[in-house]
Amino acid sequence: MERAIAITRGRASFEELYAAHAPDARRIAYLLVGDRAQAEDITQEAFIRVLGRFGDLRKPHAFKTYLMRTVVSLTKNHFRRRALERRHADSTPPQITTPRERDDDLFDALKNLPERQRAALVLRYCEDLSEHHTAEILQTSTKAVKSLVTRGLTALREEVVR
Amino acid sequence: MTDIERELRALGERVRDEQAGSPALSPRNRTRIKLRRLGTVTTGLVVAAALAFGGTFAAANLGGPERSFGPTDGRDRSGPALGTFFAEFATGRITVVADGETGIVCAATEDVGGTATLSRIEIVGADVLVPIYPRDEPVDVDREDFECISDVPEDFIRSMTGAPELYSLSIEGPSGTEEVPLELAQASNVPDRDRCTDEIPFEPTYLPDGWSPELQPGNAAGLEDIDIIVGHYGVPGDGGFEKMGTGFLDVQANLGDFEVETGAADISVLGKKASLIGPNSNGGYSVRFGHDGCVYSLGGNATRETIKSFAEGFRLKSEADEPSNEQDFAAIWPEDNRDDARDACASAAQEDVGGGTVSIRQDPESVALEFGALVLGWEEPAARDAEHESYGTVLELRRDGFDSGPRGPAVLIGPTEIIDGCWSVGWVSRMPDEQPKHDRSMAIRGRDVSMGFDPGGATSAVLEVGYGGEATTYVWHEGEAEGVEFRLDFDPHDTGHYLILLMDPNGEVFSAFGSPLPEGDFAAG
Repeated sequence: MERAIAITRGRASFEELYAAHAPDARRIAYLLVGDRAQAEDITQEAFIRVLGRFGDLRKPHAFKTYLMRTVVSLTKNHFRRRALERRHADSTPPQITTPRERDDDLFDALKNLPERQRAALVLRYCEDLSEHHTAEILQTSTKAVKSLVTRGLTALREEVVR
Repeated sequence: MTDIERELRALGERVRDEQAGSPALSPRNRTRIKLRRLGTVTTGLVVAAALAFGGTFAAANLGGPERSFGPTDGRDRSGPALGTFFAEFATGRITVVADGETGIVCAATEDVGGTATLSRIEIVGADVLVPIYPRDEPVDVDREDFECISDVPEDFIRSMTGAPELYSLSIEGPSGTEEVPLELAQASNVPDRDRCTDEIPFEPTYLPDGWSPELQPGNAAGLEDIDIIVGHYGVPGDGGFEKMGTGFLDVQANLGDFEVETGAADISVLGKKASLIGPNSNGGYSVRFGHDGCVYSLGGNATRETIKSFAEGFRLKSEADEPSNEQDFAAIWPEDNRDDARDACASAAQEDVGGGTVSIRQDPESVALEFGALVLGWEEPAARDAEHESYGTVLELRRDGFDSGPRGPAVLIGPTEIIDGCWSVGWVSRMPDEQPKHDRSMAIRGRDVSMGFDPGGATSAVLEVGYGGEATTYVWHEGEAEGVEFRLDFDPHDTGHYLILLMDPNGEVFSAFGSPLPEGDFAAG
């Protein structure tokens, strides 16, 4: 808590910011890409981009939102890259998959959702964020978040049943 | 709460519980942050200084990508179609003819084929052009000058100036002489407007390698489902497709196989059934309208689809059907639709990042840099004003900075002030020296997407088409046909965008191009 207050009052070092926010970033990245090593890379890269760009921050809430937004964007790049790698490896149609690290049908099903739906579900339920905060991170409207969540849940149900 | 919702929450909890300790930032990454922060100080000062001096990025004449009007199929685009287009935006007396190769209006004529010297050019609502063509100041305009003016699309002007009204292009005759409306040249492929031809030479605008159209002869009796789209979509350089104007009718047939332009004066003709009269010797079709229907100009792309007849609900759209300014949203990133942009901009205004001075969205360069970092995957991109002869804010974004040495991967980016004080990436384009010989083509019909593009030496490419915040990507690989077809994962709604990332053998993005897409079915090429 003291550290959070110090950060809130500004001029937190980037080590402090990292310590405060990296677990959340890493967890979201993991839920989105399903691979811990990749999630760690994405987390560090997100910090480099956000901290490197903006230096000291006076509003930690804005920082966290921007950090999460960067994590989501980087995971999107990650999937693009993986799709490319798969295409290089063989000529089968692109399918975005990640190594199976967990014996968890729901987790697997989540990974098969379109990126935006997956991100909306992870932020809304796994991270228990509000629709408003989810919308901020996804840079969209709350209405769009509702739509993404509804369609994501429907698709997820179908995936799990299948 | 449903079972699935509960399970998702439980999944989040499990992953949270599994997290053990936090790996520290690696020394290398810590150094990278420090280096970046040093660089940020300089950038921040420049931005702050610019804002302090009231610098209006939007109004600065910083150049932009060359934009041409109409299909670039090598045909003479002069004629009623083009003339009507400009007449819609013109005040006073105007005569225009088009450059036969590019479709760019390039000269005024008193007689077809002759060149006039103009006394004044006024572009209302386009202050950005003033530095080059001062208002109310007589200027002699020759062909070259004129090319630069006429191809500024309405949306572009509107986004630059925030002017809610349509801009108009006013061209008046030589000073001291009576202004006389001048006849427009007829399209070269219609030798006699009063006697329409059935056989109009046709060449596809761009037929990508490997994309073999299976056009069937004998469709004349079974025409179905030709779309009517108000507005013309041209290919303005590499940036993609852009709505070039409204108020005249443009017909684009199924999946971009034909594009038929006709002027407002000829709308009555379109109430009659169209017929196919091809194929011709070039492997394409020609189209005519009605018994006296004139095809003034024709261009388009081949398709695998069979042309069908007009849909049940075929009718002409009127001005009342035109999308309002509210719907006329044009940006590709971070949002491709107005609702999302409005929310994001409202949020961005409160973020107060960058030492409490400037939000990313308030600064076009920052938006471009973000695009480079997050979308192109360039670690430390650098941006500066592009040295490009056009209008508006155009930035050159380089992966490796602007130090001496080889340029390295670079793109042009057109930031656009999508909402007051809030910037987006309006388009991204290949560098001028990397522009392909051929234009690209695109058609979107429901969920079906057809894209033809020149990969420009790419080993692979990511093709993304998005609408209303959702996107579907297709991964193209060297050796595949340059025309691809895929389905969106969602029903498109709202405005959208397309983006093509060109990759080298290492999977690194070396170039990109993309452009906004309008709401609804679309075809251009």
